[in-house]
Formats: sequence, structure tokens, C-alpha cells
Amino acid sequence: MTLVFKLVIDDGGKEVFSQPLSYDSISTIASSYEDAKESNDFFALAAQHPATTVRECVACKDKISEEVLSMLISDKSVPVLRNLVRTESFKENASAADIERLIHLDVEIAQNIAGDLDSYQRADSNKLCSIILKMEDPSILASLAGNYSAPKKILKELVKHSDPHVASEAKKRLED
Amino acid sequence: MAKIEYRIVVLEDGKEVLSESLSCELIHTIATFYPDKPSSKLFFKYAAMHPSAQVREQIAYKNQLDEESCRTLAEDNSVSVLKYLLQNNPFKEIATFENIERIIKKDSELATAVAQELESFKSIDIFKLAELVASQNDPTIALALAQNKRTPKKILRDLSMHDDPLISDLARENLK
Repeated sequence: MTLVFKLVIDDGGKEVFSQPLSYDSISTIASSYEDAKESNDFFALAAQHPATTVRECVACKDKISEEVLSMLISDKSVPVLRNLVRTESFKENASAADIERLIHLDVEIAQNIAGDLDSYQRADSNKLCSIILKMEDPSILASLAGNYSAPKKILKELVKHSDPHVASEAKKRLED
Repeated sequence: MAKIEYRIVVLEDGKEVLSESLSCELIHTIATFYPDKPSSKLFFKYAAMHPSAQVREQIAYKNQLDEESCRTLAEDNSVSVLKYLLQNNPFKEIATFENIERIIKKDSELATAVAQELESFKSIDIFKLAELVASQNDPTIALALAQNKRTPKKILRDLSMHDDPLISDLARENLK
């Protein structure tokens, strides 16, 4: 399938200008495109663009539909997925299985999820918590320890962590 | 003028699958990043007629404007558009005395900008232009004229007798 994005100008109903847009221009347009439900027809096409930079811009939008989310959630680009996990749409609609898969894919994604555990409406935060606790990277555990909604029981475990930053973050949350 | 409409069109395997009107904000973004090269002249021509002054401001920056676009922008009612146009090289090449007279009379900041760069308007007699600028009442404009190294000597001699001591001093200094 080949997608061509064009800028067209009509003067009095007659087409007077028609130029294909470079991936760079489409990124700029996607970035500025209104973050609204009404924009999903455009987002659905831009989400299939071969340029990662275009998909990254779409993956920043909070109002992407479930259809667009399902296209982007299996994206091969980590920067796309990093943007996606921060969106409202992802938090509302991503399945527990997808969240678990992404936690294991990239440390930055895992950090984001650990810092915002209770936002994922289709996942059990306790289960996500136990998955994150098993991860070795202390930066992910530090995000969990810094999460204001992390359960006290978990924080009490993290206070005893061998990494001083993780322990200190957990201690701060317990004292809040 | 006929109604000009700007659209983004997406073709999938040659078949149109999306056609959406672009908001003034998106056209502004596109105009900002549109490459300033000879092949962009047609886009600039239409964007120079856009009802949003913000869009036209971006076009007035471009160095690849054709004469028609320069003439369109020279008639603009927005001071900001005219401010950028006065710095525009193609406009400086083709600007007529009447174009600059209209701009000078519109705003004293614009008149000051002309006074600072009298010599850059290639199609206008510098003496005639300096006389026009000198006839404005605002001393800020006279000050800019007194400081310009290319201001004709006769005009500088007149300015050396100006009531404002700063202007007369600078004009005398410039005459040396």
C-alpha cells in the first residue's frame, strides 16, 4: 500500500495547486494537527506513514481512537511507543497484555508506567506493580518508589532496597 | 477575490481517501516551515493572499517570492506583514516609490525601518526617498535618517539644523 500526502489549494472551487508533502512537512502538520476526535481520519493515515517521525507525532495525541491506538501499539519504533504510553488514549484503552509487553521492551517505557501505575484503566495496578518489582533496573524501581500512589506495602519493601536512591525515594513517599 | 481553500489530501494507491480543510493555524505552521526555494513560488503566491495575517507574515519572510506576491504583500494592511516585507530581498529589488510611500505613511516604525535602509530599495531614487522620509514629523524617523551613512548630504545638512539637538548633532557627525 502506498500513501501519498498532498497539499492542495482550490481557488473558487478549481484546483490551482497540488504538491506532495515531504515526510518532514507531514511531521510538522501531524504535530500541529488538532488533538481531537474529529482528527482521527487523518491520524489513522499518518499512523501508517513509513517515517518514524510522523508516527511519533501521532503517538503524542491524547485523543487518538482505539483503531489508531491499535496500529501504533504494535509499532516497531521505541520512540513511538515511548510517546504512546503517555497518552490518555493508551491509559484508557491499552490492554494489560500490551502494557506488560511494553514494560519489558524498554527501560524508559517501564519507568513511565512505574511512575503512573494507577492510570491504566484496563490493567490491574497490583499486578503491574508485582511485574515491575521483579525488574532488575533500579531506575524503574526508583520511578515506582517516587509514585505518590504506590501502595505502602510496596514502599516498605523498597525502603530496604540496596540502591540508596530507590530506598531514599521510597522513604520520602512514606514520610509524605 | 475568489474563495481560496487549503486542503490536505491523502491518496492510498492512487485513490483519494482523505480530503480535509486546513485551519489557519495549520497553514501558518506549513508556511513557517515551507522550504524557501524557487519551486515554492506558487505556494507563496496563494499563501500571500491568506486572510490570516500570521500566515502572510511567514510568507513576507521568504526570499523566493515572485514579483506578483511582493506586490500583493505591499498592499497588505498588517503592520507586521509590512515590517517583514521591508526586510525581504526580492521586495527591495522591485519596490516602487508608491509602495514605500504607502508603507511609510502607515506606521512610524515602518518609516524608521525605511530610513535605516534607504539605499536597499534598488528601484527607487535614494534622494527622492530620503526627502519623503525626512518629511515625516516623528523625530525617531529623522534620527534614523541622520544616522544612515547613505543619506544624501543635502538631507543631512537640513537635519543638522533640526530642533532636536540629538538629531542635529548626529547629522553633523554623519556629514564629516
